[in-house]
Amino acid sequence: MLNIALPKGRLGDKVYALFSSIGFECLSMNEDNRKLVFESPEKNVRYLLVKPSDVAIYVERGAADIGVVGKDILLETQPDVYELLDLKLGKCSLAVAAKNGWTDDISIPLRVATKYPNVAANYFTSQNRQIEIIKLNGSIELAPILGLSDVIFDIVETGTTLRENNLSVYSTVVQSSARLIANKSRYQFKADIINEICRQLKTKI
Amino acid sequence: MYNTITAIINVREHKTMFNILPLREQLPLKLRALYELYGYKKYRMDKFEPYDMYRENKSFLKYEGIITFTNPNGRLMALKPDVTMSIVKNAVNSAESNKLYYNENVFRMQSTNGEYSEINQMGLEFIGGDYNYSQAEVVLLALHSLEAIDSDYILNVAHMGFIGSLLDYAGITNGNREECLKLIKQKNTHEITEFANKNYIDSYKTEVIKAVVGISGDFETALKRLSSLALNANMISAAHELSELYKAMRASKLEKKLQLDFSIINDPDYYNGIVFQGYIPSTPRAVLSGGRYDNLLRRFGKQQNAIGFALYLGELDRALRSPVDYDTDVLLIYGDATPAQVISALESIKTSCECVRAEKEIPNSIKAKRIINIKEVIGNA
Repeated sequence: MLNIALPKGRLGDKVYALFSSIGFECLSMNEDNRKLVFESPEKNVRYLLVKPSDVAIYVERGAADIGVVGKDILLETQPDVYELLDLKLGKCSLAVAAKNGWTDDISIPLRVATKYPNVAANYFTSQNRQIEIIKLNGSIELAPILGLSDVIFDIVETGTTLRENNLSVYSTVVQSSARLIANKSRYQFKADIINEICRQLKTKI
Repeated sequence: MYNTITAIINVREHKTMFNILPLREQLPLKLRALYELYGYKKYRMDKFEPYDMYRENKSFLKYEGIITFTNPNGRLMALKPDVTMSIVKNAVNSAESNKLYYNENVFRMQSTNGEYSEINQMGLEFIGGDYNYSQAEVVLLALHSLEAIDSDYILNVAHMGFIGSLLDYAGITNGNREECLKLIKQKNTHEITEFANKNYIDSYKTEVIKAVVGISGDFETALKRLSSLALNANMISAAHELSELYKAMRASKLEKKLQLDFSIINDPDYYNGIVFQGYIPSTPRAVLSGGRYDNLLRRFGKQQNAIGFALYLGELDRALRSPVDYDTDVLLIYGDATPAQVISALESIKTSCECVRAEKEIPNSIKAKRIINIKEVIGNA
């Protein structure tokens, strides 16, 4: 049985559609319920629906054999896993954004509100910019509006949320998209099936 | 009571005695027997070492957290975080080979929360001796060690010389080599393409790197594929070394457990030649890791070659846990019986070689297969 961790939500739905298109469908996934584990004994797969930021933890610790997770989260948590494929879904970028018309005052540390403290710290260190990190878990856009931070370091998909809150991208740091990851130990014992999945997924992207 | 114990020992075979131990306590004993069988001597290490040695070779240890303190002479000391380095430091510069194994507790500070932890590590080192034979013997012992843990196991093998020459050939030098090695470790071929474009790496050479990363599965087929990708004399000789190793393992009939996989490459500052990592299905990470580390010996000014491995016994604690359904086989409830009555009751039960725990009344926290009331036993007698 192959355990596949998918991120709950829109991205997970798209990824499941991709997996079912290569023959790993699981009928119970289509039922509208609040279950988190879906099993298809005939296809020999089990899907686990988990919080997107937890997918890498499930895979790294072997609770799932493979999983799909955003590159943004891989950059932040640096899990010890194989990154086998770029699924080119859920594309976005990690960017620094600020209130429209904001100018940086380099004489004082920059206050950065973010969900990605590690990636942000690495980026600003590489720019030799002294910063103060404010770790938030959601509604990051609010921080500069209320003066909690000077800038935000967050994912930008279409830019609509930024625009509606009178914010704009100051600099784009790195591109992100959904990646297929695998547990390093499980891969050794299930290499045939995992490589076959990779090969078939490649034809679909 | 002494008679009781000797009686039990006499009744039970040595094997049964050994089996009383939980699996994770059996394993170090099995491994010791294995290493002694091949003529390895146990190495005993001091708890404290001067910190300087570790500081100079920090990246060999792959982690930052060494626990340090100042001794009365003002010298900064470290609680041993590693055994290999101490063995290398103490190795005598001589032509004769040195075969050592160790089972030591090492101390580290966890990078995540700064907590101190004590880790049980077992491993062996083959210092000096013949280059080709030493690696055949060490890899064979790695295979046997994994077999002692689980009959289902895999040993991934790679060659640092092959990947080093390939990267040299592709012009990936010091500045961005680390980034490229990181991508190889992740089997991240899509980002190797991006990396190559960014660094103007020739597209043919990029494809060769990606092909090497993609190698996995059956050793013989994989080796043929690797040989076809060898672009210069160094790479050819590395592929030849792997082929010789495979032939040697075929003599022990364990060759099916070997796999060629370049995602296991290690720090090139210390490791050269063959590197390997062992996996069992029940742990999420590698349980064994090793390789040839001649470069570390050069750093200590020694001329010998060296190859060895370590087992991460901590990883195995969970995997080797025997399922605990009961705390004891029999719970003997003695109520108001006298000590003499309880002891004679125990005497009559213990002949069945079960674990018996005597309690005055049924405890809430103890699960037993069977509960016997002392009245039943005394009644029977």
